[in-house]
Amino acid sequence: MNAAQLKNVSYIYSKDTPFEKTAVSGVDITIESGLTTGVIGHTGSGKSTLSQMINGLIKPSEGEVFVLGKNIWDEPKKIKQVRFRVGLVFQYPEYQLFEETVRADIAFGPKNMKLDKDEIERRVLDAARFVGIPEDMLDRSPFDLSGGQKRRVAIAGVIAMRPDILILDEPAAGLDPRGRNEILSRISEYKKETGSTVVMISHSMEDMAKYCDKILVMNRGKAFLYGTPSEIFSNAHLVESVGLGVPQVTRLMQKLRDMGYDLSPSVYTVEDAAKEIIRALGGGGNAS
Amino acid sequence: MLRDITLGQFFPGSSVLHKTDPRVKILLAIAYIVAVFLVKSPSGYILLSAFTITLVLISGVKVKVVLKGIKPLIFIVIFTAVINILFTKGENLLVSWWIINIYAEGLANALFMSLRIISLLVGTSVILTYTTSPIALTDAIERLLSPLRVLHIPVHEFAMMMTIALRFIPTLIEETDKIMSAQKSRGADFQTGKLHERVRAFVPVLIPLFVSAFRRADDLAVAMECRCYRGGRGRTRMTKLHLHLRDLFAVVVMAAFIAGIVVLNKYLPLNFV
Repeated sequence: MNAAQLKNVSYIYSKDTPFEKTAVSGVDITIESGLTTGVIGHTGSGKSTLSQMINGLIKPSEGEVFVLGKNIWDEPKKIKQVRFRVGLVFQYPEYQLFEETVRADIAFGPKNMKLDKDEIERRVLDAARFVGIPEDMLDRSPFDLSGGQKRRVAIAGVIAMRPDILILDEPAAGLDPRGRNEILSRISEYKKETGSTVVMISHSMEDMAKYCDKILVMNRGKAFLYGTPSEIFSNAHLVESVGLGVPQVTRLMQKLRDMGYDLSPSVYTVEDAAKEIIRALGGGGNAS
Repeated sequence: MLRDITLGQFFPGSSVLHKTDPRVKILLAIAYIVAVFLVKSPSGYILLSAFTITLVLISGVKVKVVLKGIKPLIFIVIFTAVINILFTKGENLLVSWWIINIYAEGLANALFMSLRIISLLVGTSVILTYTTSPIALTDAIERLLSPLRVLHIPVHEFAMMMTIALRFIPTLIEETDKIMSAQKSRGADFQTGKLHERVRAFVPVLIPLFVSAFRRADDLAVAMECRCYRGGRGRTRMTKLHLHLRDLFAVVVMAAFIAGIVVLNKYLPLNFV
């Protein structure tokens, strides 16, 4: 089952004006259900535009968007329903908080879905638990929280809608390394527990390698590469040709292999690298 | 949709009008407004129209853009014209039907009033807003008002406020766009519903927008202080305004135009109709 399918979609900003700019051109990809798909690319490569097309915020200039097997623009009036099924967390989502309490802010989405009170309350608690917000924080003002906590509240606001597909645009941007790991592992736990599809836009190859099942590399509005992390990183020269790097640890392993060590070429997280090196050195930690 | 709003209406270019000193342009625009109201004769209106059209052609601003600028005024123009046609009494009755009497004088008045409104708008926007960048404009206003400093009026601070406001309009538009999209993806609806529902739907946009505006203001204030900004006194400028020969030339042309109107009023006061 495909979660979302983009059929030859293009998008042009400010069409028919001197400021015309092609953001996405001829992208044709399928996002698989139950997987975490990472989207990476430079600023202006069309990642954000792409995510807003899946969620129906932007109507493609050309091509079709299918979500859960349905063309979302068949019934433009019901586009709001698509937005509930495809939850989109914008970049720096903490700047969209507006309610008096954390609880009310997380409830904004479910309230718009016209759910009953008990269900809303249940979803708020659930969402707060997923992102790690303690219950006593729910009645505080979101403006009194720290940056990382605000970010989590904002993500909870989208999770509370229980979308089938969760799209996150740079969920870890601007956080310190600990905040990064915390957010990203919460998201991956959320995915494991609910089995929903996650699409994550990021700048960091390390994060992609660690959390994603599939990676889409965007370059100048086009889908440049699409595949599993090992497929992507075994094409290191291609990735580097568009100015993106493979994870540092992959490069380190490559160097070690060049020096004659017998190491697997498809290692792209620090944990795997440690295991692989121990294995190559004879395992068990008692290698000389 | 919010992106479509053009601000300041400035169209970059390299015409004589673009190059003229902004201070001179402000004064010329005022002179032009006076001239428009001085016109009393049909021949004067012909001169005014010719002069205004010439300004448009010189400025290099597309005629389409200028016409688009007139659009919002069409209602006022039509309204004025109709009032003039219906309520001007004269000697040459053209149509008389029921209680409506239309005189030739009324038609003439309507035509001239419309011309006056349109040339007022087109002329001032071509002299000022289309051809002067907002920054140059505030700079010029600051210079022109600087004598008021003697009266302890904080001219520099006012100009700085205007500059900052202009600088942040596009930023805030972009921000509004982003917040609206974010709330839309949480199911907010800005397009349907009753009026009070639609007004309420903007609360989730306005609050984050205010919060971020204050945050930006704070950041900017700190950044300016870090660079030792402390107001206008003793501040030097990156772009200094110098008067050139072409500025004098522009003044002479405007003077000739006004003189022409006065002369036509006096010696060619052809009666209406």
